[in-house]
Amino acid sequence: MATFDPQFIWFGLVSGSLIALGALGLTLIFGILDFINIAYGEYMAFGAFVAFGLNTQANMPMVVAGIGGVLGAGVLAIALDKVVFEKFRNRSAIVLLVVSIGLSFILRNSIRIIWGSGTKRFDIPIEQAPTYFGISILPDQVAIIILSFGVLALTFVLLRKTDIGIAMRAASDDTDLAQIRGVNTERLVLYVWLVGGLIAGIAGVMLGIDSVLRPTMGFLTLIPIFAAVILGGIGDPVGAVVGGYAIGLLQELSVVVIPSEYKPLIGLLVLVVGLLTRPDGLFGEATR
Amino acid sequence: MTFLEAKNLKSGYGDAIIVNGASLEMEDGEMVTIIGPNGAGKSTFLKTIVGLLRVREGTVTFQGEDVTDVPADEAIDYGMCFVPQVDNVFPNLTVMENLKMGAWSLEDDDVFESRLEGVYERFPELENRTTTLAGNLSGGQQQMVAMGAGLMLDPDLLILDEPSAGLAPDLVDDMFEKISEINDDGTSVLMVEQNARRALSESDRGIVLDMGESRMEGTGAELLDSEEVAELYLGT
Repeated sequence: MATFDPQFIWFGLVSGSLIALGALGLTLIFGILDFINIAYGEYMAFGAFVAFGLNTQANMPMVVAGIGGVLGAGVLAIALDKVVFEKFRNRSAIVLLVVSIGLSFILRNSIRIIWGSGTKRFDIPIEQAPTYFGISILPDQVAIIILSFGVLALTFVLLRKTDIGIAMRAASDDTDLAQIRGVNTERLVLYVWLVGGLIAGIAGVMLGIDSVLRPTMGFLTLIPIFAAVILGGIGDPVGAVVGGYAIGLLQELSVVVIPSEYKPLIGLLVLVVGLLTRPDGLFGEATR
Repeated sequence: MTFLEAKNLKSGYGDAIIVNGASLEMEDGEMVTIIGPNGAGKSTFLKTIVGLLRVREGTVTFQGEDVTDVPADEAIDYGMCFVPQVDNVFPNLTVMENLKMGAWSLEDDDVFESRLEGVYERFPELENRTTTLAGNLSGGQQQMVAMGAGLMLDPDLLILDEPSAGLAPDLVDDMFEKISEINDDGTSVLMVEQNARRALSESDRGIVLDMGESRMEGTGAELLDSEEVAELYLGT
């Protein structure tokens, strides 16, 4: 246990940014396909490891490698829909859930086979964190917060202001009615996977920058992401983002009351308490 | 040339065949009502015509084109628009976004604006609620949004599933009036109605569907006057 330190709030904002991104991506996919993709954490890890390969094995600068990793995760999401999920399109959510669990094992171990199971680091300089107001703030962390804020804002502009985004929300409300309106929902699904995959890639790469890369990095982040999605009301993008920041802050602040090894428990705790008390999410009525 | 012809349609869900050989013909400009008891397959019949359900047997032709296997998202390109009975608006989209979705395949902004104006003229209540979420509207207003969205592409045929369902009695009259107006303005209308007497009295023709088959047809007046129809399908 530790005494309260404003540093925790800063850490909470950083991990909250990553969780919010993941939660937004996961909830968007849920919105249109009505199932929780357990392999989503692996999409994040895959993006991070592709960036790692480009960065340390192909010696590309981090920014270029990062973009490569993000695109890699986007391509992966579309490819896996075509090869796997499309075959199960009209099956129940339970079937899709189990399929995604299987896929998550396959992906995680594929990453292990390709890149090894050890801990990896991006080839980026380790910097001394400057201190402001008693909080040590790394430039990388500032970049993470700004970038995720930018991505979140961009996604909401997409969902609110563009025709394709409005159609995504429409299909999330009612796929049949979207079809009646002339939307080719199968093509729309691919756009959603692309957006969800790119977001996963961004979150994964930034997670790797913030700490280290491991094949399990995505899977372990999935629990707080999942908690954020539930907290925000499943399928609700705004709720997912708010939930993400809330879980991030809670996790980091929890070290004041529990030993820091138990930090990952917070996600699970919120998940359980949330499902018991507010199954429709923090903001009351569920969107579905 | 027959405007819309559905011939010996069979369709259903899974192993259950709900529509079992039903047929229908209508001419351009007509208003046709399908009546029948609960579970007769009326809604399923409409959903099959618009391509939401696969045609197992039979054919559908519309304005001379075979649309039997045309999926729902393309039916709109042929000029038919379906307004479902329930879940006919996107609740988490605003009224304006719902109307935009109605014009999804429309590229021309000027045409969009003029159609929008047309919808507001027909349903003035919607004009000052453009930013309200459709899910927060009353049942009657939701029905207006649903019809308005359906009209955004100026379809040749409007297909309505129980347009008066869930409406307060005074709104039912309004709704039928609107439908008649739309029909008078040149859009053919095919609808299923529980409110059979009222619907038949407004319609050019009626078709009785029972057990998934078309049993009878005639002008609205003929069906209303028929003792058999009155006894079996209209109640007293």
